[in-house]
This record gives sequence, structure tokens and C-alpha cells, in this order.
Amino acid sequence: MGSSAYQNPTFNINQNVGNVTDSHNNVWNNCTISDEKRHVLEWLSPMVPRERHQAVRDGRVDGVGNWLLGTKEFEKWHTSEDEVVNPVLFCYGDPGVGKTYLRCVKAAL
Amino acid sequence: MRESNLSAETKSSLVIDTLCDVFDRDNVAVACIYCDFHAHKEQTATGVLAAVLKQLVAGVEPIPDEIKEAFDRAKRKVDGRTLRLAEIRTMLIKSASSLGRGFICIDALDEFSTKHRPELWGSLQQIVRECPNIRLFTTGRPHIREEVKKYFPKYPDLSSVKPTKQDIFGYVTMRLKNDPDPDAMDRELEADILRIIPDKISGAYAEPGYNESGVIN
Repeated sequence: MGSSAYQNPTFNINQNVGNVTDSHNNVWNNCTISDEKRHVLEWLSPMVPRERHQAVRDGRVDGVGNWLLGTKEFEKWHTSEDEVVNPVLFCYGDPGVGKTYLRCVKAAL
Repeated sequence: MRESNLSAETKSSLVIDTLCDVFDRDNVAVACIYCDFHAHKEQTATGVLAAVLKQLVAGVEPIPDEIKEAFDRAKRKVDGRTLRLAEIRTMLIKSASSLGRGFICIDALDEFSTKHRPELWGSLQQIVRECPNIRLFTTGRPHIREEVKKYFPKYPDLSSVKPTKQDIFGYVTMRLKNDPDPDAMDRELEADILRIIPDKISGAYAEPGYNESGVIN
């Protein structure tokens, strides 16, 4: 409590202004992270969500899902710093447009 | 990548990349978690919050004292005790509060273990309540919506994912292009697939009360 780190934090996140890949990787792969800090972070959690994110991103099709980013709900949610704005955005849907659907619809052909 | 959740995962990864792009500046952190049925053993509320905390403080220099001290304590002990949920939650709230802004994105909450879900919801609820600078983005199948409403009753304007016909058309086109067995395909069949599948699937998603863009009216 009352640690200097909380009172006066500095940030190295997204130091390099660049494309999405660079900025995102910097969140986890910041080259300025010391070995000691890396050990602490690894101890804190062995999970590596960036690897999953990379896999999902690699399978993404350009333009698919872009409509979500254009909705006023998303716009308000991520740009507004107003406390009144809904801080929770929930997107729901049935399983996606993968093999399951190709198989289902095959019967209709 | 599992295909069953492609649509939601795509949304999550798009949102994460968009946030990283838009907030490419100091003092903003984005944390993401992809829940997975196959990782129930590893994915507990404690594990998820620890992974969120890890990502939120990855760019903070120096690392918050409390976390460093807990690490040193664990190292000194033979058993190397890991942190408990309440300890992680307290650290997370404190670390998140010191950020300018923080985004927590949790994909496929329905795939997160039912047993641990109340703990996770309770923690997320507390984090959102105590950190007005934190935004939470989650995806899940429709039944999870009731849980979101239960834990966040104050916030009714939730969006829904509904792939558009163009989304499906784009995806099917990509799959046809990458067909590992192209000889089995002919032009007529390809045209039928591209004509019928987007129609059928977008129809399957139609729900009363939702407009074309999939956003609640």
C-alpha cells in the first residue's frame, strides 16, 4: 500500500508507434522488460494468451466482423471516459460460421 | 483454432487489436483471455485474474511493490505458495486504478468452468465497480447473457454478435480458396455454396428484437 510504483507509475506499453502487430506485441514482449521482472510476471501467471491471440488473428478473414467496430455501442464503450457509460460490452452468439455450418447446409444443397 | 467459436474469437481478436491500435500510448493496458473447454484444469478464476494482472502490469515500471514482495516471499518459501484469489483481486484493482485506462477482454465465457464462473463474475463485478477507468469486453453463447445481466444489472445496453451475410460470404470464400481438395469442387457447386450458405446461416441467427446490425433495438 502506498508504494511508489502505485503513486508514480510509468509505462512502457506500446512505446513504438507502429502497426497493430507491433503495438500489441509490445504489451507482452516489451524488450525493456528486465529478467527479474520477467520472472515475476511468469510466476504471477504461466498463461500466454498472446499465443492464442496470434493464432486467432492468423485465422481471421479481412473485413469479417468489422461491423461490430462501427457500432455506436462499441464506439461509446471504448472512447468515452465518462463513468456513466456502460463499462461492460457483451457480445453473444451461437457457434460461428465454421465447419458445423458447412456440414448443416450441405444437406440443403 | 477451434472452429466452433470462430465468430466470437474473431470479434474478440478484432476488438483487442483495435484497442491496441487506438490506444497506442502510455498508461493504457489491454489484457485478453481466451477461455477454452479443454483447459478447465488450468482456467480458474484465480488463474484468469492472475493472467489479467500480468498483462496489465507488464508495461508498468517498476512493477508494483506488492507484486514484487509477494514474489520474493514465495521464492523464500520452500513450497512457493501461489497467490490466493482475494490477494490477486486486491492487487489487480490497485494496479488497474493506477492506469489511465485499462481494457479486459474475455473471450468465450461460456467455455469457462461453470464451477469457477461465479467467482470470476464476482471478481469482475468488483473490479468494474471499483475501477471506473476499466472497460470489460466479453463474448459468449446466448445463455451467458443472463449471467451478465445478473452480475451487471445496471448496464442493460449490451450488444449481440450476429454475423452478417457479408461476414459469412467472406468466410466461406476464404474456405473455398483454401480448399485442401479443390478437385472435388466445380463451379456450379461453388456458386451454390456461396449462394445458399450465407442465406441459411444469417437466417439461423435472426432473433426477434434485433435489428440488421445485430445490435439490440
